[in-house]
Amino acid sequence: METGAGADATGAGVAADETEIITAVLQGEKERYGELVSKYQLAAWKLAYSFVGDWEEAKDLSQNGFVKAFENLRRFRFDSKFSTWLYRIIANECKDFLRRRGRRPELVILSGSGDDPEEDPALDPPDPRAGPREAAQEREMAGRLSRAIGRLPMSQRTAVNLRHLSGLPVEEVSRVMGCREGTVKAHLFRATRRLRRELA
Amino acid sequence: MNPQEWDEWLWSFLKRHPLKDPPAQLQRDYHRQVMDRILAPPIWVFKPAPVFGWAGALAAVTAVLLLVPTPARVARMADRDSEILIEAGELASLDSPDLEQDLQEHDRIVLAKAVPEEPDAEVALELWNDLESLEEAPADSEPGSEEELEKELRQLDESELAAHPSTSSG
Repeated sequence: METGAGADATGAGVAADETEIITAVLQGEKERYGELVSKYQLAAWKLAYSFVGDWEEAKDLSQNGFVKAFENLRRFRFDSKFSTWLYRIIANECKDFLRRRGRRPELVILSGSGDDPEEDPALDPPDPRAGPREAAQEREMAGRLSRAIGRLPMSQRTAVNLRHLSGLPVEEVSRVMGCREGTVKAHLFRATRRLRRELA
Repeated sequence: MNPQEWDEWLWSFLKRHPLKDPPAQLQRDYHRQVMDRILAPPIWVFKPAPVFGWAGALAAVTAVLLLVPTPARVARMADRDSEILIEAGELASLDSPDLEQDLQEHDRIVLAKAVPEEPDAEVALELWNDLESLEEAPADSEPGSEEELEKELRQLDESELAAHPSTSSG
């Protein structure tokens, strides 16, 4: 199972094995779609979470994304990676969801931030080499950064989620967001400036 | 820290603190739930063609509902079958045996509104008034009203149409 959306981020087209899987699914071997689900489920789920800030809702939204991708698989053109296409569907699902709900979550939980009530800091130290004082500072900063990312405008937040939380290259972020690379860079620049101001 | 250093610090910080993993208990059935939805037998879902959109679909459904024969509509249709429609232009053939038979077979006579420009308009209006007065008489209180009606119509044939010979030419 992939641990991040960027784990497969090599090359621009569909990997040979994915082409074979997708072709088989289109020819009626629906069960083989499970291979794609296994490969991308965690990355897809985390991507949805970075938008909505709730694991249960993110689960539903990312699962909807998988089902929609399956239902529209015949429209998939093999000129981009399957994951890029899937992430775009999921990002749109999440944006629609947030629009319907009328408000955005103001928090995404970064590991080691201490914002998760279920998280035991002792089991998840921010940096094993850091002393207790540094560890506390790091945890506090992670919490502030989580909240600051949550307050970013949607386009900037989407760019940060895809680029820095999901680890996609800028070129793939631009495909997922449906805009030019220059626009993605502008969103990232503005997001960085805003975060710097908030955390200063 | 200058802006560039800050940027580098920020992204290295985010790398050290990626998004947390989802809770383990939620992870268990993720894959199965997706595959269940994909492999489940298809359920027919109405998806209107994009060219019509939902407004078109709604209009189509409304039209179908309007055409469904409800008991009230069936009753109205049956009632309509028991009527005979006489248009002003047909008055010329009032003396035909077909019309007489029609009058015997149908419960009501509906006379179409006469068009003023028509030469038969005057006759039509007179007939209309006469026929309406016949219809208004309750059937129960006047046994043999059908016979009366026929009689009246025959009289109309003889008197009114004879007075307007132009109408008998059609």
